[in-house]
Amino acid sequence: MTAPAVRIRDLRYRYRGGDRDILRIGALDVDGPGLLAVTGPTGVGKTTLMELLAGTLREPYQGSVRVLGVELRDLRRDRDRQCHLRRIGLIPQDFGLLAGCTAGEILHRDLADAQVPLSEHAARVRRALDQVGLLAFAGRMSEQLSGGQRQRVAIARTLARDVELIIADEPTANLDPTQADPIVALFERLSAERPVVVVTHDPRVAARCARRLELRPLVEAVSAAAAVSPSAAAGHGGPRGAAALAGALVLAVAVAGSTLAVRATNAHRTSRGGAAVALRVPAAATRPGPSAAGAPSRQVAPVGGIPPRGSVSTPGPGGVITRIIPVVQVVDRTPPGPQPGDPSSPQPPTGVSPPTAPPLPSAPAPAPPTAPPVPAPPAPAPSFAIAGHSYPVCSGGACSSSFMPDADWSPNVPSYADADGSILGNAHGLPTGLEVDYWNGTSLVRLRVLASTTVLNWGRPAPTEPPPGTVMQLGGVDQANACMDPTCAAPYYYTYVFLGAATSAAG
Amino acid sequence: MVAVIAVAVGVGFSVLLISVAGGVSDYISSQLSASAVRRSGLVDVDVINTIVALLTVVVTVAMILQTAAATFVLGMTTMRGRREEIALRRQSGVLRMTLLVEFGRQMLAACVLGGVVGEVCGILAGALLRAVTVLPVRFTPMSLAAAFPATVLLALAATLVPAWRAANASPALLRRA
Repeated sequence: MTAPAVRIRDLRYRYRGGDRDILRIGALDVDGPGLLAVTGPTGVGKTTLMELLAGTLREPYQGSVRVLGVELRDLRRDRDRQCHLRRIGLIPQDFGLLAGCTAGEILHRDLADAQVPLSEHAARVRRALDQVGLLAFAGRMSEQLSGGQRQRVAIARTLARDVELIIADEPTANLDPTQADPIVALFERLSAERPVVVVTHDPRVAARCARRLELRPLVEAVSAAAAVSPSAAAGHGGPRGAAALAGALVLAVAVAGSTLAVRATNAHRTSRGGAAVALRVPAAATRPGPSAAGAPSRQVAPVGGIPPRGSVSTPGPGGVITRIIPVVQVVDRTPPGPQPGDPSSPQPPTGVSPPTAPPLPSAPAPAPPTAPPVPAPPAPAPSFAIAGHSYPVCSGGACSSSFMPDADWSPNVPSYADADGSILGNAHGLPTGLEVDYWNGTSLVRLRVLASTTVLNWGRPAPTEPPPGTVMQLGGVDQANACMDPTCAAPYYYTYVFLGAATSAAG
Repeated sequence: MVAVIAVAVGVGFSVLLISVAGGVSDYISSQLSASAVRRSGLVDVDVINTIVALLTVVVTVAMILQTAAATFVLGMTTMRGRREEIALRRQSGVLRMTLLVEFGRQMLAACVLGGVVGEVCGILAGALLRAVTVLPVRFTPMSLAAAFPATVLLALAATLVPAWRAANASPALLRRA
């Protein structure tokens, strides 16, 4: 049996000197030929993942990353590493062509670098250029080629080396549609013989891929309705909870369509102190019994229990999720406290998710599980409460005067406020275990924070706009979509809070 | 080509100035050594000879260092401009040693070519100076060969050190830098 092209287990990756993880992936398998799209919002770590798989990042990582059967960290000698790289074709977004060379020279140089025997060079170059339809352009300087032609030359580089895995980063980003379509068609053709991984923002490209790996900054809410429903959230084992969960699965299937969405939770290059989220689907809940408690849980999971289709799969018994923790995705102002991504804060054990969130040692006012405090009666206007404070729900971001200044929330951490003083999201998420009364539009429900993170996004908000249907009223989420300056050049933040496992209805 | 010109200019000037310095030094020494001057007791001939010799050495060393430093800076700059190439080629699987040998060979060729051109130009310029001016230019093995090896050695170092460092870096990060 051949080794899978890619096999990732419990990956945690951060850049050297970085204070947080850039990537966290519980498990991912890619094997066999086929076209795989890697999608996700800007900054989620797609390119980092691709470069890591391509072996062009040298920073140490935690967990296991096996590409073409080789654990990357085992490649210590330069020769071993470079020989491994020769088996992989990485096509960067800017095509990665040497300037001042003709297409033919680029391929010849590539083959020489890969130590392919000189006698094979001419035939390989001719064949590769022929495959991409550029044989007539072999003598043309790369600068004189169009974008589509340059992309083809980049593809031809990998074909000439006869790589076993092709990784393309935004292959159509610099191309107009008339050039992009043939390139995608070319990738489709190539994927018949080998795995081709394509990072893309273009939904049309993703739609043409047989499989899709979707990286998200968090595990997307499976069903907002299920998430905010006390019965669904609290009654994991009950019939209503099961029904809600089943509904969640159906909804997730609908959302995912026929693609196989693999969910990965990522930490981001957030401001210092930001927290990373690791929401894991508890194997214990999936497989009751003593053995299930130790089974690996998944950050990467097929949506709605869709069995793995061929090359992309999640490990674990059956590879099917039968229970999903209901979560909602909200933006909230953040009190100080230990964060999930913080080494000093309590973390669930790797591979095992607690059925309920761990207690919060230093939360401002964690409610005791046995005797939760009586929440404030719901005000006429929608409101929510966190740590004993009550706040209005700011649908549409109209909370200009009611939000507290930063200092009330986080006097000792950097935070980011908009013009009216409300917090767009500071460097911390909500403490794990904190109970919040959440206004779901009709009633208050008490939910417990499972995990929380603040996500930095550069540039305009559109790429990371929360998906439709996400419950985001808490804390005036819409304000988080505001840019920090007129040109949207400054960073802004989303604070995502995962709520679930309601302990009681809040009245 | 830039490296060739830089090395040629550096070596040429080194040859010229060291030759001029040597010629001036010899001229002054010979003049001061005249018996009439010694007998006059107006000047301490030995002290002046020592000063002139030291000045010659200083000029020689300065020119060697200048040439070497210029070549070093040029080499570093050149390699910085080639980091993209290094990253791309490392991505394709080229061995680090292959890169170093290749870059070293290229720089060595540029140094040798530039050095030869510089030597020729320096000698021609020195001969011209001697012919049309009163400057006493004197070519010696020292003046002809001093700058050349230092230039080559530092040029190689300036090429190989950054190339080594670039080859050791993550290609992905190198390309982003």
